[in-house]
Amino acid sequence: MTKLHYLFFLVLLLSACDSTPNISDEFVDGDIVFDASIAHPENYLQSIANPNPTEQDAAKPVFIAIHGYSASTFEWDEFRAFSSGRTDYFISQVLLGGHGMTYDDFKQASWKTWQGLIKAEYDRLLAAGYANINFVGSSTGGALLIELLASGYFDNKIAPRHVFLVDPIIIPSSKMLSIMPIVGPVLGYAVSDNTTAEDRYWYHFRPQETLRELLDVTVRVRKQLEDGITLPAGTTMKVYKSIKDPTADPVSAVLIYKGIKTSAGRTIDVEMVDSDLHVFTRLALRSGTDQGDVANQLRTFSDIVSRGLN
Amino acid sequence: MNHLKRCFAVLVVCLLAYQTSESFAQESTLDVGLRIQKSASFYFENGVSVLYSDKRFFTDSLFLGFHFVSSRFGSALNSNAINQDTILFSAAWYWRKTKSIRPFGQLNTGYFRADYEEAVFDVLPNSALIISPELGIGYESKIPLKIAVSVGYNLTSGNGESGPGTLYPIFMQMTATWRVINP
Repeated sequence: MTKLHYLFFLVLLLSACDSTPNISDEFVDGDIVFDASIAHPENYLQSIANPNPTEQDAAKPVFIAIHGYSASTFEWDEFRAFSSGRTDYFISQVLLGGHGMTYDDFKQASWKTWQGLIKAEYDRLLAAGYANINFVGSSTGGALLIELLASGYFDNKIAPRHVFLVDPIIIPSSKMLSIMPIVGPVLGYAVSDNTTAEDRYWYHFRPQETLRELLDVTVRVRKQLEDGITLPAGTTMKVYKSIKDPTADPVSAVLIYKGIKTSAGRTIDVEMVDSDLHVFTRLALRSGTDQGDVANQLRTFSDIVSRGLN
Repeated sequence: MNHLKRCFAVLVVCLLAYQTSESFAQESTLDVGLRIQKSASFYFENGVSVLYSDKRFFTDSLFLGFHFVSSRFGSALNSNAINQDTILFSAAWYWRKTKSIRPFGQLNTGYFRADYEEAVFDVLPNSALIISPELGIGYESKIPLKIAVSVGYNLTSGNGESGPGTLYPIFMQMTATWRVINP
């Protein structure tokens, strides 16, 4: 190979490493569209909406809803809509750290940054006096919650009553994520297959740095599951998993089931859902959904609320 | 446990073959050893390998192999990892005959099966036929020890909608074998 060839490949490699996507103003990646919870946290976070609850309100269940990687609070908007008019529980939709802002904000955030705002809301709710806290986490939100449980975050605190996971990711469906440390620097970023409408709520461009963070946290959680995780006393868990999922491999449910036990040594609950959607509880902005998808969503929301109220 | 029995049977066959090695022609070889395999960012799956080269067919260049690897001897040992087993039959071509460092290409075919244990997971695919090419380098020492490292690619890995989810595409492996016939 001549020196010219080497030079060509070096330039190609460096240009790939330095690649910056062409971001539209219509994307959440840009400088104009932001997650709505940033401007109006009181509409999303119970700790901000009511930091001084009455004794009666403080005893009501709060569901902290956690979205997935590259998504936003929008992922759980339908759960809030489903709960409209209900006064017997509250919903707190957390925006993961680094999300809902610009591409560069997203690029610079680690998985610990993503997780940080979950802890912040949990601690604010506890400080405000809320004592019946529950989690609903989708996709990477599920992995981040399992990581909190495994790392002992709830030790010496009021533990969550129930943890509900919808299509949690431990094993990615695209196994190419496993070689992101090698190919990532060359790729620079990945392009999602969002619809135009979804681009306002999910990042269109996924920086390779964030994909490596996703790999890091999923591998970490997998190993924590292999070692075994015991839920805090009084905490229950249920996993709802699509039997086909283009993002979070359904086998993730097997790993969670095998890896987590209640404090009494019992298995957790798992429901395999007849769906081919990732985060099957989010139907808004999707095309091609049918009555079966709607039924899955409503049945799951109802089950979550029913269990949370018990 | 059935797989363990099969492994044991293979080892017995190899030992018997060793005992009767005089009946083999000088050029035919049989190598028996251990295979350590790791999928990229996933499980260790370890087991045994048997490689045979016949004097009538490109001796010491073409190797036919049998391999059995399992997470039971790797990541699932004393952990909650999923038990999964793979049986492979292979054909490998080693270049640079008579040299100690020998690049090789190998094509595997076989069967993969994962054990999800609970009936609730019966809706998920847990087995697959395997087709996987490998490229690597072998080292043949002056003693009958042979070490081969390679990178392979499973063409039938899971993708969330079909195929077992714990069958990853890219894997690295190291095989250390001892020549038990015609060393």
